[in-house]
Amino acid sequence: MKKTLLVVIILIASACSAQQLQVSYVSDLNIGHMVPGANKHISENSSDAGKFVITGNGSVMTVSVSFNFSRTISGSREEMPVKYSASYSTGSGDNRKGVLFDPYSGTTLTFDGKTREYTIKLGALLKAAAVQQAGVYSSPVIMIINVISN
Amino acid sequence: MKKLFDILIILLIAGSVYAQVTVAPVTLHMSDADKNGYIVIKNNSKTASWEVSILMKFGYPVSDSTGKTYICFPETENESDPSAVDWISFFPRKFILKPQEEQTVRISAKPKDLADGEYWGRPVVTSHPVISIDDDNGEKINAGVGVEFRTVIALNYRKGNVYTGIRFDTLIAAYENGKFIVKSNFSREGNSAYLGNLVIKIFDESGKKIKEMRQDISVYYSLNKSIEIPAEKLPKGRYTIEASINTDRDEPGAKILKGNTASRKIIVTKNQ
Repeated sequence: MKKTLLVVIILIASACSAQQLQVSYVSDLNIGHMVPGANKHISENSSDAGKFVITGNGSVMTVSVSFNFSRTISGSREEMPVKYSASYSTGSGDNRKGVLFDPYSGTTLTFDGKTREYTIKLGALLKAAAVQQAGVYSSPVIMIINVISN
Repeated sequence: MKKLFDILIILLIAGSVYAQVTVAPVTLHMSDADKNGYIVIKNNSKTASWEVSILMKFGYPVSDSTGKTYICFPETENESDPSAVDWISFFPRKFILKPQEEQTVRISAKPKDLADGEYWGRPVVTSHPVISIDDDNGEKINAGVGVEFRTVIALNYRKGNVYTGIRFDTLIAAYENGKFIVKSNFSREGNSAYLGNLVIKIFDESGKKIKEMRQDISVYYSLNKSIEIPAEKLPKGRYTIEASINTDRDEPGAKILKGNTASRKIIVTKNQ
């Protein structure tokens, strides 16, 4: 009985001290109202940007972050072209202006005891057709985090 | 007058304001003496359930000509590739995590007739929110397409006599636009990946250290590394860049294979 208990304790301690990555999806990329035929740009630094937070646990590690996007966002019957933009900043503060990067090719983030958290913000540029159907449009977003330091 | 219309890109289930997935550890070291491992995956979300699946691919870090590191996943594996994909299994491979729930995924290695050396794989933990779509009403617009996270971690399996080393092939450096740009190239020796640190120190003409930067580095075959070190308002003069690569990592829970230390120096002149 004592042996079993000891093993469990060691496993828990090991899991707590190991390098870990936490990915949080904090807020939607909100386009809001659009006018047919007009562009709409949501800056990656605006409050309407989509927001992710990647958190380490103080361990030293380097990760690459990139995205897979669809080229369009889709409504029930129509599509609309979209081009995304992104920025990153350390910490999770909402108002910081981040460092721009191309979300299609990605960026590299280094974690350590001082830098435990990065915020990634996603913006978008859309152009609605002159006759664009009203409705809710949506888009799949795949965020890929690769540990490259091991 | 043109009609306004609403467009909302929904990246996640409506109402799911804050979603989190944690993966630990992000590096798995296994061996003949340690054929079982585990990953813990936790859904920290308070509202959404997440579907998680795990697969493993053969891959390793490489770099492009600019020194950017990425993971190469060869489309086809050669017999000479040290892949652990075929004989490492995960259980469970697919599951649902309710809010605040966690799952321990057990990893089991069953290698057969391996030569001594290190074998690699990249477990890919894919997670996305469970989406309930209302199929009853075709008139509704479903906003169920969402975010997917793919967390790609490292797995190394060591068999028998394993050893690693590093050759520091080239070091070039320049001072441009208020920063030192240091580019180095390494080749791995031995039969295992070289996991270590790259330490760069910059000294002025008096020998005083003015900058130091340390980054972790992994060399599986060869690697170009480019590092920018901000150093504005420096006086004109000659600066010595000293770069050193070693395996002295402070990594809790990891089993870093010790290898040699290699160093190079170069002098950069700042004229303006």
